[in-house]
Amino acid sequence: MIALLLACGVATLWLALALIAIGFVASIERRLRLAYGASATDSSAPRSEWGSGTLEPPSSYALVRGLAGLSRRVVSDSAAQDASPALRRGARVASLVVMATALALVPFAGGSFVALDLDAGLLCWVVLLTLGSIAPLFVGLAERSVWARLGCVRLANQALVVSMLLVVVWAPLVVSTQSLRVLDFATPQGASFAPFEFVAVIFGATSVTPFLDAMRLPDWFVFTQPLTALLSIAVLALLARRAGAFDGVVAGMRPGGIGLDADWSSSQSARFDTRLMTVLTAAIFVTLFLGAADLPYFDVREIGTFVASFVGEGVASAVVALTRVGVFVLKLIGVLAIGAIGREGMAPPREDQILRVLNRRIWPLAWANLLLVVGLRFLLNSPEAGL
Amino acid sequence: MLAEALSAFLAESLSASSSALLLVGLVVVVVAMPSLVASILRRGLPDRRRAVRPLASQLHTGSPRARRSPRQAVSMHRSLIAAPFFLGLGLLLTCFAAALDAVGIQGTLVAIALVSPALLVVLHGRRRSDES
Repeated sequence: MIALLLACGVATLWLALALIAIGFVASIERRLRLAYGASATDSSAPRSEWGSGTLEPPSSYALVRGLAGLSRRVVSDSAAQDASPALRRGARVASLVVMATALALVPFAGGSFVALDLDAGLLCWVVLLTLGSIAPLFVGLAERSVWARLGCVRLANQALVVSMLLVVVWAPLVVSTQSLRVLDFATPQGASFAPFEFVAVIFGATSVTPFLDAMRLPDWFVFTQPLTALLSIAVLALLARRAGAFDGVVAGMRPGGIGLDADWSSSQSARFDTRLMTVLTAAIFVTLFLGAADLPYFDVREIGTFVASFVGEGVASAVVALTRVGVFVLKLIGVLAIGAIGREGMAPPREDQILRVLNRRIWPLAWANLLLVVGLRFLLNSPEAGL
Repeated sequence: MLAEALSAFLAESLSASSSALLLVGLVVVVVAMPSLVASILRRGLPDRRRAVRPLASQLHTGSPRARRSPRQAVSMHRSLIAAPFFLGLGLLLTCFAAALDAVGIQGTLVAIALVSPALLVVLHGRRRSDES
């Protein structure tokens, strides 16, 4: 029974954190929408029936906006013509299930609070991200339009290529850690390293000088493998481009979006789907490259030791766990904010531009990075190098 | 007694993935809840207000460049064909790195010693077949 309660607690806590992050994404989108005064696209919700103005409903309170949306749904129901409702609904549910399973693999508070700990967690992420990119495409297949179906095939093609690229981009991480378990990537990042240590070794110093030792960096993969981190940002951003592409800034579908956003439930699903995928990719990036729930230069367990001298061990463990959760959420929100600012700062790329960048830049760079990491590993680990 | 047995059975049957299953279920419930509440409330409306509004299909348009030229489709097809080969090579290299890490850097010398004669035979055979 205790196992069941613990499982319920972990699942509820993780859901609460995911909802906080999704709320933060929605808040950023609304702020950008208000700041830029973006106009709605042709495929936006039917304002003539639901109200006037682009920024409807004109309330600054999220609860009021939610109630207004719900009341619209009650008084005005809609159904998409020429579409299979079962397939549309199935696609939405499949997409949610896949993304929630991928979220369960994220160790948001270290080892003890992970919802799902698998030996091949990294491989599972690749598979789930692929399925999560392809599942919403069935919304387009549900429409009896050849253009929608061709669009789905086109987007599935892209998703498959990007997923295969993700394997090559993450291969250097596997080479470094010799493991596929997600916790094995998150746990060692709590330490720190001296990036210019090799300078002292080259000049024959027997120990690292205090100056070089003071320039220590956290042992995060974003510092130890910066090119892998940069390539991962690009590939995860491509995977996060949803087929039912809801654009939070213009409050409507992007021109290439699949599914009818004029339908209230489809619109709500597309919003949640897009934001959940954004949160998932940000959480994966924080776990793999930003030290997960660890603070730089400081072991969180010291807080537990300090607290345990005043109160019991149980309270100290709870304080440590909550601190780790807080650190993870702060990192997640920081990544989401930087991502939103970066996304708004650049024009959305066309598909032919994406393909060109994928084929001519990211694939060769991913290969070069893999060869570089493999070569450096053998060079630094060989006994002749003396490092 | 029965309650204890039931709770023990539940605790045993719930594996480590129970948190994940609960999380998935909670996410689906959270998303489905507004639609469910709205449909329940709609049952209380008069019949004339419960009419379902039909929606026309959305137009799907890609980039203008894609509509003008088949070049994008060609490059997309090429990338789809090439990606599995690159993926296979990447996986092979990763396995190679793991194996070499286990046997040590001296393993390359043994590998070269094993591969070189085979390569020599293959190249020689290719040359002979060209002559014939």
